[in-house]
Amino acid sequence: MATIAERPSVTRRGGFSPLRRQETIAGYLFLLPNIVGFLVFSSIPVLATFSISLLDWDLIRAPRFVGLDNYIKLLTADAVFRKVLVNTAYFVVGTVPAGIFLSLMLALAMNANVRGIAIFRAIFFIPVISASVAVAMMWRWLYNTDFGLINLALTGIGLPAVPWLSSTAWAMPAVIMMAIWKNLGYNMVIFLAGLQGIPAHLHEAAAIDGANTFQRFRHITLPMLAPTTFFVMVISMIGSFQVFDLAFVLTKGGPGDATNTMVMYIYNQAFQFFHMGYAASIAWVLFAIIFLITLGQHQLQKRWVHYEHE
Amino acid sequence: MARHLSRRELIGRLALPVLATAFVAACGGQTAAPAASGPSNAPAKPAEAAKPGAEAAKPGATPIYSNVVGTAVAAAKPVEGAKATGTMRYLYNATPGANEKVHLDLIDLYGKLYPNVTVEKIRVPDDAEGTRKLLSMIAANDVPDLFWNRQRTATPFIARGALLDLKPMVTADKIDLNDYWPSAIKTFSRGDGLYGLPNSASSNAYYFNADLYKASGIPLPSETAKKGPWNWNVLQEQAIKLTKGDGPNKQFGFDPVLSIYSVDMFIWQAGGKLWDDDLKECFLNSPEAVAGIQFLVDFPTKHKAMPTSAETGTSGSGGATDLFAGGRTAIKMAGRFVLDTLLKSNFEVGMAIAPEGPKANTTRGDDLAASIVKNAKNPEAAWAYAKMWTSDDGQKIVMDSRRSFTARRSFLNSDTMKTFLQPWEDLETYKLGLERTGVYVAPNHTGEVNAIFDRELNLAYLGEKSVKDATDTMKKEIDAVLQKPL
Repeated sequence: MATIAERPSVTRRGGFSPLRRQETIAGYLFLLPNIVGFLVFSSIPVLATFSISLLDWDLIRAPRFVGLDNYIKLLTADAVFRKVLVNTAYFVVGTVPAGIFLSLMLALAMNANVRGIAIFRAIFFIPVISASVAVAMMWRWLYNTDFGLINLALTGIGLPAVPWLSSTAWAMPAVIMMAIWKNLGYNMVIFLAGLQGIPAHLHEAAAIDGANTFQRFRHITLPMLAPTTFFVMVISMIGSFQVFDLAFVLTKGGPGDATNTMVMYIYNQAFQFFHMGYAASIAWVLFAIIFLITLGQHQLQKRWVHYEHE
Repeated sequence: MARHLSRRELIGRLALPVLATAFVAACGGQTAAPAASGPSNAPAKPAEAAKPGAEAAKPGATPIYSNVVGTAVAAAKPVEGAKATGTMRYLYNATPGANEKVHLDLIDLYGKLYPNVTVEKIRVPDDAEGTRKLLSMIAANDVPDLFWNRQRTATPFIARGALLDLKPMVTADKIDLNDYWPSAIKTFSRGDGLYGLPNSASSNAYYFNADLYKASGIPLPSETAKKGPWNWNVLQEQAIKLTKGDGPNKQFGFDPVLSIYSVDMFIWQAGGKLWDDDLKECFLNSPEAVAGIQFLVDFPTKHKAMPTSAETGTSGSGGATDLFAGGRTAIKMAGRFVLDTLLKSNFEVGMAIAPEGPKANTTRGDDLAASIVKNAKNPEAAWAYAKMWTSDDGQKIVMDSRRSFTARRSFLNSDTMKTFLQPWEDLETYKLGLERTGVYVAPNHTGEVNAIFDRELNLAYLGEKSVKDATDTMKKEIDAVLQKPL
């Protein structure tokens, strides 16, 4: 049966047919706004930041080309950068595994088929859509040493009050707890979608074979959720490396430099210290770190992530 | 498999970042001043252009209007012969409401005096955001004409040549700079240039909760200051006596002193200096400076008489102001900007001069000025605005705003001055404080120095570092910053 699709789209001379060419042009025209937007607002600024990272520039006077000096100084002579790097790693390690575990547990609980479950899901999602500044202000009160709810609970059970935001030891755990709470709902929704994509017959077959709840979770749910878990892990890790607003409002990087993170350091270098080139070089180092870790995760996923089509 | 690049491909790939670098450099160069030239002393055209209009707006030359600022604004007449026209872009920081009132009133007055000029308001919430905004606008070659400048935002822009030297205009319009507080002139001067026309001073005073003093049977600081002695020992003794209770209802004797712009006073009073006059060496770990900082740090760590950041609930000064307004702090060191907050409190307020230190009685202040940005499109209109602000009419609006204090001696001594003060505000105390104000000479790398200072002071306040260790770190790190070229 002859159809339009059977018409040759490539001419004898190897070029596209006029119709195919027209369709291609039309396709690119439809894509053009997005391509232009991507180039103007993403690609070119990203390339420009690399160029800026090679400059000594305060945005006021003429920039001076310094080659790789910013990178050399950053990696060899900047003690604060080392500190913020460690702080950021601390934050990532503190938020990502715990965040994934807790959001998975929450998703399992929210996957129950009970009346009103949508309301509970919405409640847990509220922190995600709440403004970071408002969330940080609320947690500031929760962490208040004298009359914060958390310390009231601790002292209520006979534990000492914790100086959450005024101790170099406790400030980062305080930021981590707040960040986990803020992002729990987002990861929960993704896990929930993953859970609901697991065919019910797998659980039914396992139950008939005598598998208990934990065994079904261990041998069916977790492996089937592996692609979702991988996605959540990558997204959470990237988001954690980029932490800024929550820590900035809650602690401003203090006390001392206890909660100063890489993005906060970029911000300070650029807009407090007028070192735009140096700030850009930190941004590129941060990009390199995230890129390499994501690449590593992508390589490692072959060992534990299995897709249905495989 | 790895593929070797041809020479053409290699050149092509390397060319991209180089071209982009050149592009950025070219863009930046359009707005930039020569790297090593510093502030320009080039003659300023606008002075001559603004001359005719200057007569009416010159300090002291404008007619005095009634005490009600709104009525006076309504009665203002256009300045005859004023050449200022077009749009004047004005960058200022304020939160909407009472905080912005001074700017809106001034813009209103300006609109009456210069009806041919439209003011384009560029409002940002605070001075940190103002710095970022100005920086971005300069980079984009889209500068505002006028910038509301202050002590802590001035140096980075002056040092980098981003502001117009107003000296030629001041000279042309015969403005008497001796009429302004010396600290204000020094703050906005560099070399022979003047980069801001002072318009208000945040005169420093010690505001106190008279109810708490009376309840403890302690003479009011205003009385003590008159009889003497009123010094560090007395302040410390009173603060300890006034500190009572525990937990959420604890009452504190003294208010947190958090930034370098306030701590400097204690260092001066102890006989110390922050750095040398050439801004090349930090003296913060000198015995005198350590004594000044130790005096402050002892309040929360030793005497428990000053709230910590955990107790104020913030790392900034807002929580401390709330504590005082809530009646939980006996004495607060602040500028007149707290007046609105104090008027809402339900206790009797009083004020006194800062107590004397062991070596000096220097006080601190925070001067504000109108700066014209280099490459401004309408410097004539901006200069006319700066002069209007500092005129008698402008100063009335400043005083009426209850956010600041007059920048001019002659206005302070005028008859109308008292009409703007609360019954408990003491003009002589303000005057004495302003005459004694020391000048904080900000280093070129202000932001970096402040970050180091704040971090180490915070650790000392929290008891996580001794003052000696904290100031040694300050010295080491700030010295390195001071040595850096601009």
